[in-house]
Amino acid sequence: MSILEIDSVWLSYKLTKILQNVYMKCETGEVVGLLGRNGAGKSSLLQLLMGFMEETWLGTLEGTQVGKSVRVNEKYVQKPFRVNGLINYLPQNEFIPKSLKVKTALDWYEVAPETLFVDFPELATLLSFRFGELSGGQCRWIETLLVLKANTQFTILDEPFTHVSPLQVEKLKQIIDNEKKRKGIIITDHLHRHITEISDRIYFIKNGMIIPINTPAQLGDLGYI
Amino acid sequence: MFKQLKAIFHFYKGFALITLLVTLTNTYLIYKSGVINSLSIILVTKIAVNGIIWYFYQIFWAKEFYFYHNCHLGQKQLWAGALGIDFLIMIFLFTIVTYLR
Repeated sequence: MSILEIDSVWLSYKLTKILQNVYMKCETGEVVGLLGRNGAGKSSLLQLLMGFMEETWLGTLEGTQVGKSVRVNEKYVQKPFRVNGLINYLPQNEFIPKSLKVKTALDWYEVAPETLFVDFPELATLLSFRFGELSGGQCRWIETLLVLKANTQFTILDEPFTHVSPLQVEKLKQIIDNEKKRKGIIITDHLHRHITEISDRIYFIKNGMIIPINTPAQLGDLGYI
Repeated sequence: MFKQLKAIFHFYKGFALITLLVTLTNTYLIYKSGVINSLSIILVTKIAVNGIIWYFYQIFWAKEFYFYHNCHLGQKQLWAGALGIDFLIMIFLFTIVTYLR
């Protein structure tokens, strides 16, 4: 079992404090849900967890010990995304280059095509297509499956249910439930009912603080629903 | 490692046509005027074009970096690798044209 933790994170932009002394944990074998209003800092926290933020952030990380905020099994990891087989990330929007073929993306993410065809035989016909030739829905669906099926210890999903049809949402929830047997999954989405249904543990971000949620009713008390 | 190199090469292919056009123009300039006389123009055009490409990537294709991050490549590695390939092609062409002159 592996444990991924992010600890003592501070993040601000101009005069706005986005995250204040945040701690979050995910273990392999569980789904951790992250909820919060728009602009609460969910995506920023996930990007910090991946190690992207130091490359692109225009605000300040004052108070955060850069390179000493993410731990895997109690060892600091400066840039988790650079560690082979540790973590991968599904961003909010389509992210695979349009010129890339589906089979090439599968190869680079080390996902055997057969693992997708078992559940989704219709995808077999799309292997030789480039991502630019697929519809938005097909593109998003393949991207989500790729990230989930890749052989990493942890997967971060930023709004995976957005732009997905209701039938596919149910399928996706089943896949997430199945994949958590071998990895830890951190998930955020505004469709909070799906998040509360599939998560083993939920965190809520409010005013830069992170609050563990024990019952869905607590979300109402916090003014989220 | 091999897959990461392929990913860097794929990233380079996204803007190779533009940089190769600039390199070929500069190669022609060297053929006509020699390295010493063309050096300042070559430096300025290469830096300007690479700067514009970098800017456009940050504005229009920034999301694609997540794909490469999932291949364990950071932006620094991608740019260093892609510009390294571009530099090697440029040196190769410049060497050939200098011998031909």
